[in-house]
Amino acid sequence: MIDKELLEILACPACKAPVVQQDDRIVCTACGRRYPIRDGIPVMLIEEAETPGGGTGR
Amino acid sequence: MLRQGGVLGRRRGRRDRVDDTHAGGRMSEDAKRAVRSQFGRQASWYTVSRVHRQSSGLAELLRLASPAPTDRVLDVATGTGFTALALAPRCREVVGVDLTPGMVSEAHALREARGVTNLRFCLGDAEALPFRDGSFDIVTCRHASHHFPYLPLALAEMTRVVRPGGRVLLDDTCAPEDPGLAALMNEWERRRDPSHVADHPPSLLIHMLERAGLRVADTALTSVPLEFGDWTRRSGVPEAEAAALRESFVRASPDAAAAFGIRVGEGDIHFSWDEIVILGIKP
Repeated sequence: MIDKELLEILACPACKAPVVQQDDRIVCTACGRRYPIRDGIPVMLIEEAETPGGGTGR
Repeated sequence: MLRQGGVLGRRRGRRDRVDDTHAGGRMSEDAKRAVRSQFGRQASWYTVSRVHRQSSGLAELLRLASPAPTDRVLDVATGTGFTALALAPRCREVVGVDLTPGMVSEAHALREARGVTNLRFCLGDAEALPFRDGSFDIVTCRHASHHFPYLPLALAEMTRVVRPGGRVLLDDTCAPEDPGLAALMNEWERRRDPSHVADHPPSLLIHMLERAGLRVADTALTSVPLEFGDWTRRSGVPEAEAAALRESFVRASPDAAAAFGIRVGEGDIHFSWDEIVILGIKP
């Protein structure tokens, strides 16, 4: 579980919209990109994200 | 302290050069892979490096940042968390962000070992920071900006995530104002570490902070003492290249020797880079 205080200030690096945690992913509330969490650390890199339509990246 | 007159006097010429150098904009994936590969390899070295431990630039950064116990701080390109760990006891919360998983893992382990509870990490790109606007009271970036292919974009992002009235601290080695000496320093740095992009002179760095929308309120210059052997070993320079690079230090012009304080001794070559800490305030 990602710390609540960190989650509140995290944003999607692509569109800067707020994000929420869904299981082991951090999900952008606007563009829907899904960022992984590895060893408890959010991986907020655009090229590591799954896009809503499938596939990864930009 | 830098005199503002000197800074303003150089502005026009420098601007053209920056824009030319960085035509193409965002950091290419190849460049980012190079940074990750270089720093993944170096991660354990960096936590024991004497240069990073003794540099008084950190003291200047802490002085100019003047964190309050209520402040939330972001450390950009935090590496193994050296600066973030120094900031943590002085403020409410520190977030460290870095591009390289190996560095962040090392930082995470150091945090656990020291029992620091108000420091968090995430992976992120300085040029596309994963934070909401105005989230931080202070944003720091130390000994990293010379790796950013497009520093103006990283500075724009740092400015975006700091709150109005908040402070941005850029702390890095800097090049001499003389273009020839600056080119020589950057050539040496690139031969030593292929992921090196550029050290810039103070006037250009200050100009870039202003272009990002910050008011430059203070600066401090310090010196980073270096030993050639340690400097090249830390970045894993192959022996033949290290020997060629050593020769180039030994044969440096009197101007370069004076600018970089080069002293060739029996055992090693001693020299130093200037380091600048710049405080920018978001209006």
